[in-house]
Amino acid sequence: MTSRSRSYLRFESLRAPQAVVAALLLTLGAVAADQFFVPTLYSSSPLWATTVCLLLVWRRSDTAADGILGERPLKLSRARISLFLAAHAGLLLTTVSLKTLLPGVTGGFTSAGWLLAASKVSVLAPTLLLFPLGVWRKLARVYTQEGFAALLALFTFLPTRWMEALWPWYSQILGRSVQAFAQLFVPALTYHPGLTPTLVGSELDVTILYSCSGINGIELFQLLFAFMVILEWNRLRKDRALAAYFAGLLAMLVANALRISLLIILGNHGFSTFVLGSHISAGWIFFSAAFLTYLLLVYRHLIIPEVPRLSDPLSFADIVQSPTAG
Amino acid sequence: MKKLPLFVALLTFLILTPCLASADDHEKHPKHHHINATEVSVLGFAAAIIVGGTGYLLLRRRKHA
Repeated sequence: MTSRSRSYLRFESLRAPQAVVAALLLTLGAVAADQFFVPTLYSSSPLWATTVCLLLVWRRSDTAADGILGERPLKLSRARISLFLAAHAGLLLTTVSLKTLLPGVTGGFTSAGWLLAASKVSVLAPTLLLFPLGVWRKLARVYTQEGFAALLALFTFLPTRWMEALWPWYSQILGRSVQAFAQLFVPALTYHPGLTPTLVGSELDVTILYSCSGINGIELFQLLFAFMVILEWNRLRKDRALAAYFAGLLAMLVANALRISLLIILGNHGFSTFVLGSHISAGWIFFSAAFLTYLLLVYRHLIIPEVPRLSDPLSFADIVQSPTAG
Repeated sequence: MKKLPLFVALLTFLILTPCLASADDHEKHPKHHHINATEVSVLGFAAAIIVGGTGYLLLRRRKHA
């Protein structure tokens, strides 16, 4: 590896207190174990939130965290780890007993559904036992942005449940938007509302299923955007990144509407065989292109310009350039 | 932009995925390679992640060069 590529891939990390990293790793392991032993608790959101927090804390390059406990290094006590593990065991037992009391509970906007959702998020609660309250206050002050990013991941990452809940309403908006655009090129196109709206054309009829909702594009965007945020964390304009995240989600939904419109237009202009055989792969190509186009537009606005480093000190002759010398 | 050929190769792979996944009749063309919709989706997702990630890294390199 050349010095240039080493510099390009440099990781100004590992400044985080080991105890904080250990606490997050413990949380990740315990949450995964909870979900393994009681599948009712399964949700990828707590895993994503912990992973995002861990990676961002690890990537943090400044020394703000050095002064969390003054001269005393931050440590995890065995008593607190035991308490943490006991809390997880208690949580598992409670969930199993609730499952016996409330059989057949599934997700949804009902009391039982909310209880189930709360139990899935509650797997993160025992982490609070790993440090005293005073230390948590100091950690919250130092790692405010990392914590906020983790919360964002917890509630918005891979939003299958949100999309499933909104689908009856959103499918109508998507169907109508697609019809409005595609009708400019396929005048005979008619709209048939329903949970899965159908657009009937002269050569090809298209039914918009849940899998066409754009959820795949959103998931792709979230994973790639998270990758960028983790890599750029130390020079990222956090407020702009937050705005760009939500604008990007919206952009992927718009891109999805455009994708379906293009499939309908092509399918009704002699390419129905291609559309039927290749629409899934074509969708991924389209979503990749949409993400890269969006990133190309916003990237430079998200990054704090780099200040030139004086790693190679200037020579005296470089500094004192006499105008008469040349 | 030394990694451009790699990026182009990845894009080509992604674009060729529909050919791998052609929904031909298996009895008519038994020698054709067939994969189902779920496999196409997984393959497409993986390829899209690689293409998107590589595109971002190239952009990052260009901006910080």
